Amino acid sequence: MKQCQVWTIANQKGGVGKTTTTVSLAGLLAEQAYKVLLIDLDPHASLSHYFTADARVNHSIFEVLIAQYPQQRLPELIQKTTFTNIDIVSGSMNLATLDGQYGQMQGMGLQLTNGIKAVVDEYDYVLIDCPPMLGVLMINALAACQHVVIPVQVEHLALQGLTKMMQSLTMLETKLHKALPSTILPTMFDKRLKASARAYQTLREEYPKNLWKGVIPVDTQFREASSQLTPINIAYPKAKGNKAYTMALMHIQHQCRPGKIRKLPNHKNTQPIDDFSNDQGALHA
Amino acid sequence: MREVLPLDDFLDTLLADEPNLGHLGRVPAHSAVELVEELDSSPLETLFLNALHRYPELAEPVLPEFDAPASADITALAVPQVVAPVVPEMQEQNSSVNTSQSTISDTDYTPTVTEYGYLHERVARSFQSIVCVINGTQIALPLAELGGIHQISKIERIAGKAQWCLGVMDIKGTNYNVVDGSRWLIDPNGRVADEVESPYQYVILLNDSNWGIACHDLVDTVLCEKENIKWRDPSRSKPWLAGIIKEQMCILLDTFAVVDMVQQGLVSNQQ
Ligand SMILES: Nc1ncnc2c1ncn2[C@@H]1O[C@H](COP(=O)(O)OP(=O)(O)O)[C@@H](O)[C@H]1O
Ligand SMILES: [Mg+2]
Repeated sequence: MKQCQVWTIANQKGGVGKTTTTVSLAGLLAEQAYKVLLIDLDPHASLSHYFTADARVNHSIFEVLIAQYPQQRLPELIQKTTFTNIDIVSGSMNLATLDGQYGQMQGMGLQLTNGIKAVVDEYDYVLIDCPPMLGVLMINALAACQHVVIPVQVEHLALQGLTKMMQSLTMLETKLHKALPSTILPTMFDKRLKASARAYQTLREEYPKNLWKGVIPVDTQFREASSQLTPINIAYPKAKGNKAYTMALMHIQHQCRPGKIRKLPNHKNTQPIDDFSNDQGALHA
Repeated sequence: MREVLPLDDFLDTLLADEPNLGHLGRVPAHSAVELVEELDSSPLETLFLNALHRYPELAEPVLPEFDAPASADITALAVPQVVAPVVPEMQEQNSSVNTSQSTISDTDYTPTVTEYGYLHERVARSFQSIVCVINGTQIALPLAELGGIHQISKIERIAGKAQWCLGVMDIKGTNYNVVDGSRWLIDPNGRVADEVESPYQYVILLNDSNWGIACHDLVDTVLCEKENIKWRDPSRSKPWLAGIIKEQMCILLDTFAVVDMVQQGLVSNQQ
């Protein structure tokens, strides 16, 4: 049986590299022969467009979020992409109306958690791309995942958004009675800019625990890869952006290895939750 | 607008252990309206020019900065004319539509602006809009003022309704009046022959009313900055035409004004 990992890629700010991170990580995971399911929760559906998925209103994850039986509905909406090992449930524009229509409905935040239960045996990874707002959509994504990846543009203004995001995570941890471990991913780092270096320094000081110590550099080949609708590891395997994501992925995988679970609050549980067999201890953060 | 719950309560509700989604209906899996070939989307410039041609009001002088303190004449516009809301019952409406259609004259209609204010007053400095296509023209509607978007399923024609009302659609047990986007908004004079019109795909529900507008396609959601919109003076004719989003070069609708007008049986070029 597979040990499916659900990761949410989120930040309460737009244009910081969430979708780029989702696509790049998916490409690399698929290359490592993992089966990946992508879920596009953004009404802009840019992830869906990247993989030329059908993003029409009644073919998207919206259906799962409003379904009476989300577990039954989600498998029906999975679309194949042209890339081996990558499948997707698309987003669609009516996702934007969810908050207004169902934002106050009991249990609405757990629809995705329930939907994903149906596919954990089929996939090694489920990656959820979020809209840049804390609302019903992002809460569904955070409730459903075991790990949160937070891309942050290395720039002063973007850091303010990060504070909000971290506060939201803390609040949700209490509500969900579960730990929400996260990895902050500094993106679009421009080494020529003093401001970039300063912002990076601030990140290191303020988030010593969650920060991935590397950076994703500004790399024009992301835009090139995007215009070819291809993950960067396939379009430009040698790009420095791809190398950075490869390192970042190793780090996140290491953070999520089963042994790490020991550190979560429920360690008194008598059920054996540790599995050290996979823990080579080879990588150190 | 909608009540905003404090974050804490919001989370408690959303994450309640006992989901209570039993009454959530399903959007019908198939639509009675055949899906048609994609509308050719003209370049934005052409759309803009078309829009200008159709709505010369857009070329009128723009109102001063709205973020600045309201100038005297804007305030003057917003305050007077308390008009009783015209919210006829469904049945009554059928007849009132028919009669009012022929009798409405230029002076009969006063927008009931005091109830819902003007769009530029209601929206935040930046707000999201959804862009749809009606008959090849791109129209934006502010997201916060929508009641939902649904695939069009069976629309029940109601005898005696105005031409621009497609009829009534049942959405999860509630009946909504569906406005024919083309006949009401784009082509109220009926110049487009029926046979060139393609079937509608979606109905966009307008604020909390029981009205929706039918459109052919959805294009995008856009984040609008208030200052990047060419706002119209809303006291003029066509109160539904709030302005134009400069970047997308598309018309921005005031949903409350639309509902206000259709409830009075008016089409977009009547006032
Ligand atoms: N490391 C990078 N270097 C250069 N451009 C990037 C990088 N990461 C993302 N981009 C570009 O920035 C834009 C926004 O990124 P995107 O991933 O769509 O952000 P989000 O999903 O957070 O809104 C896209 O055009 C993308 O190609
Ligand atoms: Mg995105």
